[in-house]
Amino acid sequence: MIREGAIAAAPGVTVPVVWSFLGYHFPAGSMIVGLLACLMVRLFITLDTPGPKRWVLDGVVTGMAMLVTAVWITEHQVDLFAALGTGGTAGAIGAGIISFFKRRGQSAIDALEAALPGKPAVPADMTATLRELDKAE
Amino acid sequence: MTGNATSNYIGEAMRSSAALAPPSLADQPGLLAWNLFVMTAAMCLGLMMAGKQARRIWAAREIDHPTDPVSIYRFIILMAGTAIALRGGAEAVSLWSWSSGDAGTVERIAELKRWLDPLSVGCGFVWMTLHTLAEPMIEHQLRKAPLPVDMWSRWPQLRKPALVLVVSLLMATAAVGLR
Repeated sequence: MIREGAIAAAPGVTVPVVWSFLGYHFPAGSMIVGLLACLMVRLFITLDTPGPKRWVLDGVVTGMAMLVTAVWITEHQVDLFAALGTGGTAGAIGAGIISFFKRRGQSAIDALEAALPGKPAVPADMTATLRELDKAE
Repeated sequence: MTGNATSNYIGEAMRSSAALAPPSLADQPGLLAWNLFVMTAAMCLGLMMAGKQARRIWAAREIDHPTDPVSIYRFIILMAGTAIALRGGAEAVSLWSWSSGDAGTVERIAELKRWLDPLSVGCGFVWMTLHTLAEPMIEHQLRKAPLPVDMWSRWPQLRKPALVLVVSLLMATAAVGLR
């Protein structure tokens, strides 16, 4: 009621609808716009890829990009315009998210390994060399 | 505790609430949704069309002479796609930018739109010029093998644009309806 009164007082000024899911509150418009922007970019990429369609793989990548978008929008309470950019970027990066976190995750594991006390002493450069050999194969 | 956080957030949202649209559309949510929908879809469809033509021109650059009728036809389609994409994109981005509530952003985007609009009209001028220059020769050559064009078999090709239209419509509806 108070909100509606405020809207009526100032024409053209609106308040975003807030939804909550599992205790997280987010602006509903931004969320839907962001997710759809992500979906749109993923559609472009999926449908433009030549060769046989890999629907399962594309579905998984799309779902993950949309999840990243949703988390970002919830976390930062972005407005509509920024939600477009968030969704579009997450969709465009797409499969890049997997490789990014694979690399980041690996270095995080390495850092954790190095920080843990009482581990067998393997020099860092030796570990790195072994990992390079792993990649080559 | 949770309720407190929610009301904090709503208070924050109210403070940051801003006009969703330029003054000409401020009190007309239906018209705003319609504009957002059409302009967003125009940007995406124009990009698809121009991108596809550009790739086809590039793929056939060894085969088709630049003054072949087919090259001119493709270039005209490329220019039409670019014009729609630039014009629709500039308008869409400037409409969407109003929801950022930041005067600086709105101003920058509006200036960008003023730069892009003449460029998109320029693309239109280019295809008009090409059409004027090539019209008699192209018509003469098109009459040489006047087989009817079977368009019904290409009907499924419209599925992709239809999908883009649906997604744009949903985006515009969500943006306007949930404010």
